[in-house]
Amino acid sequence: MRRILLSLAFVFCATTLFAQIENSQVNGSFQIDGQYYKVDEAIGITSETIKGQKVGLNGFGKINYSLGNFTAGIRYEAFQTPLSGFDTRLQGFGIANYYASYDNGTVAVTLGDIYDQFGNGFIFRTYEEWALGFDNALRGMRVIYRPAAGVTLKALFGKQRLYWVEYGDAAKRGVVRGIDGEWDLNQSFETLNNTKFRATVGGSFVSKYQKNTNTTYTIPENVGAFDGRVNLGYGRFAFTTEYAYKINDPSAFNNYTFNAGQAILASLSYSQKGFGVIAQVKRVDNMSFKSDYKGVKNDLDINFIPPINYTHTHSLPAIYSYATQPLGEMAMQLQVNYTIPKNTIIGGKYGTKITADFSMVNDIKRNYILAEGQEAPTHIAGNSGTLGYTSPFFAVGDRKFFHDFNIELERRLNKKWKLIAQYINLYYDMDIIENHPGAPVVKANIAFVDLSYRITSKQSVRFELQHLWDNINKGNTTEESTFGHEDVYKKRGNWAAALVEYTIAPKWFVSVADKYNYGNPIAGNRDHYYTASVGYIKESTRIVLTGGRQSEGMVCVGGVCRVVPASSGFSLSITTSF
Amino acid sequence: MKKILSILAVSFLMMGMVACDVIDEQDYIKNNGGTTPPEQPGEPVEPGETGDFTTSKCVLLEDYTGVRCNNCPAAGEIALNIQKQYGHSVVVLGVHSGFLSAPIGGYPNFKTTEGDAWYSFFGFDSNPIGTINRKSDGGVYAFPSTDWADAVASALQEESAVGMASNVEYDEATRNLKVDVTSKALVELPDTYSLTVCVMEDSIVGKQLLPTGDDENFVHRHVFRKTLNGTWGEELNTTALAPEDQIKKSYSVTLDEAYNAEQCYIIAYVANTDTKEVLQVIEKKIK
Repeated sequence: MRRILLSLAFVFCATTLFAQIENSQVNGSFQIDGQYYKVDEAIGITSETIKGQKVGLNGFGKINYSLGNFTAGIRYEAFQTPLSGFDTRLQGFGIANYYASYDNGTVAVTLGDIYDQFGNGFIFRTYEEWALGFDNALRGMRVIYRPAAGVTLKALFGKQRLYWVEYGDAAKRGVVRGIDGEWDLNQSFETLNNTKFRATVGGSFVSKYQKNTNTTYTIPENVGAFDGRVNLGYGRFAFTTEYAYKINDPSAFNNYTFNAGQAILASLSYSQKGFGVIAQVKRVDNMSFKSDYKGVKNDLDINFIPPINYTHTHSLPAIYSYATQPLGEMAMQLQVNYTIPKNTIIGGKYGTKITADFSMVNDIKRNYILAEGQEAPTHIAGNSGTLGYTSPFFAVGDRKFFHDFNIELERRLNKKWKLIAQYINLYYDMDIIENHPGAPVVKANIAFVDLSYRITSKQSVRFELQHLWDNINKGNTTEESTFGHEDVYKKRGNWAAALVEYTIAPKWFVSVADKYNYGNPIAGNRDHYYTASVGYIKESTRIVLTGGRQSEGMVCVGGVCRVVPASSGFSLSITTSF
Repeated sequence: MKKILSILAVSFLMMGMVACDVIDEQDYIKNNGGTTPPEQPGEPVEPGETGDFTTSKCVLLEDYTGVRCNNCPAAGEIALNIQKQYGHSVVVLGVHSGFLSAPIGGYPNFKTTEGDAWYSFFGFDSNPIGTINRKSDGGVYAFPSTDWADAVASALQEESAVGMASNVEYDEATRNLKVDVTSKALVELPDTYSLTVCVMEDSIVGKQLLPTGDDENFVHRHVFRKTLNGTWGEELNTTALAPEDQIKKSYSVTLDEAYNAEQCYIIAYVANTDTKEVLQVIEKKIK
């Protein structure tokens, strides 16, 4: 607390002293998301479900001050009580983050809460994602040194944020320290700039220290991870790759198995006007890396495994979003974009953009180390207190977690009308992705059209029609097969959805929508989820009021997901920045 | 440039050497000398013959399990091994709740209304999962089975605040069961506290799903059957308790015909009414 007060005092003094200096700048932003919950027994929300929590409020405000080479900032957060679906450990309020930084171009020093990442984040990434209630900021110190053009060296250390848990509580998390170097050859060698060749190389090392208090296993107190990366480009081609290795890191997350972790990502792309193609492959093996070996869920993640899947924004495909599996996955993605030129027979007057994407994720191949007489382990990572398994690096596991094939067409029909249409074929292993043991796999086809009509230069209306065909429906399941599995079947079966949105630019929008799970195998789950929203935007302030029902689903950002339970009521969201 | 690269290379090597602990395979498990997995479930651990006050700290380990949860038997083994390690200081309650405990397809029905209410209150959504003295960390009661040993070891270090004693009389002819539980404050207790008295039946043979398939003759350990005084027990006090204050509660019920009295135990615990944290727990065999 004393440090927070000192920091605040420092920021205030700085503000007063330098208020007259023209170069100083203050900016910030605020957001309040509130929801009033009401009992809605038709969709299973009883007074017991909401446990007396009638109102949820999540809010933050951040202020940054800069003067020349100096910047400082604070972020205040309040969760009273957290919105439904957010981790209940967020309950509380106070100054969650603060920092002060000095950067003269050659040397930069930051004290306080640090957000940074090395490469793709395989061994280090700290970030804050409001939609997930996720914040793993590193409270400590960072030095950046740029000794020559194109060369950046970083060193940092600290402890990560875990909701409101005191940083001094050594049992709750360890210390993280890391170094990173990156060399952009094009900046160092001017002659390269006259060629089509581009190259960047980088390397990192991150280590965590946490005292072992486990009574059963010898937990390594220092766990190190190494990472190397190369980005190459030649003309319209680009190739990037990154490899990471982590030494033995037994934890609650990997069932206290002792094998090393590895991750590799390679990406090859080509792009020119009207055409682009990207192919990516990724292998992840035992790469959960947390600053508390007892950590569960997304607590105290030091690293980040980037997803290589298409991100769907429409409501029905988003029901089955893929969550990255740090314990192991073999993934690939191929995406092709092509714009059929305008003023052609097929392309039409305005041209037509087509995007085709295929991504697939399987498990890695695991040859488990089993006890005598044991046929299979009880955990995907293998038996506790052993190496767990061995895994041939290039072998693909038999179990498929996910696939997504989709093709999207975007075309302006005339001056008034614009059409987006998409077809999606999904395979979704709910057992693994949502941790529902025994849940049947979802095989779904989804199609939607999104049609916009411009009434005047300021007014427009947008229609969305979506449908999801599920392989499990009310017609092909029995009461017995669903009984006792209610959690698994909450969102199964066919869905239909429609939305109408009317916008008066630049200030107002109104929308009404309904999602109907008419094919749910359980009769009591065939519910409508209707909502109505009104929004007002003025300069950088946005106010949105929504009333209705929210279906159970997943909110995912960058492959990190949180479950959103069904709810009913009103919500109000206010955001502003200055 | 060479200088920079040299500095980088040396820094990496130095940090790599000092900041990596590679554990030898024979040392993965402490005090075990090897990687032998935990032994299979053995005979039930006999509870203590109480009568005098149990004043040393005891810990309630709740194992939320299910007959169709193939990962649950492994968690049950962990609980049993912890109990073997600490003896009477650890009381295990196997609560069958969650969607994998539904008795379909010939599996036995161990579900209870109390267990379902606890499962829902603690915010669980999957099995196996457990609580250690129902202690919450910022609203989270869940402990994965891999963390039970650690959490129990830590909970046993806490100061004991309540002493408990029980007397159990069972009439075989009438199946009448009389239970007296006396709770005694060992320190000043400023909040309100509740006493919950449960029946636990150990070693019931019945079908269970394992990773290798169904086991028709699985031995279900520590099965929670019912409470004698409501889901959250009976309130003990309305005003603060001073050290040595004692409260006695008595119950008389008929033991359900379905329960094997030979294998039944009374488990009683005192918990903070608001936070649900268990301060003390005792266990006594009915016969």
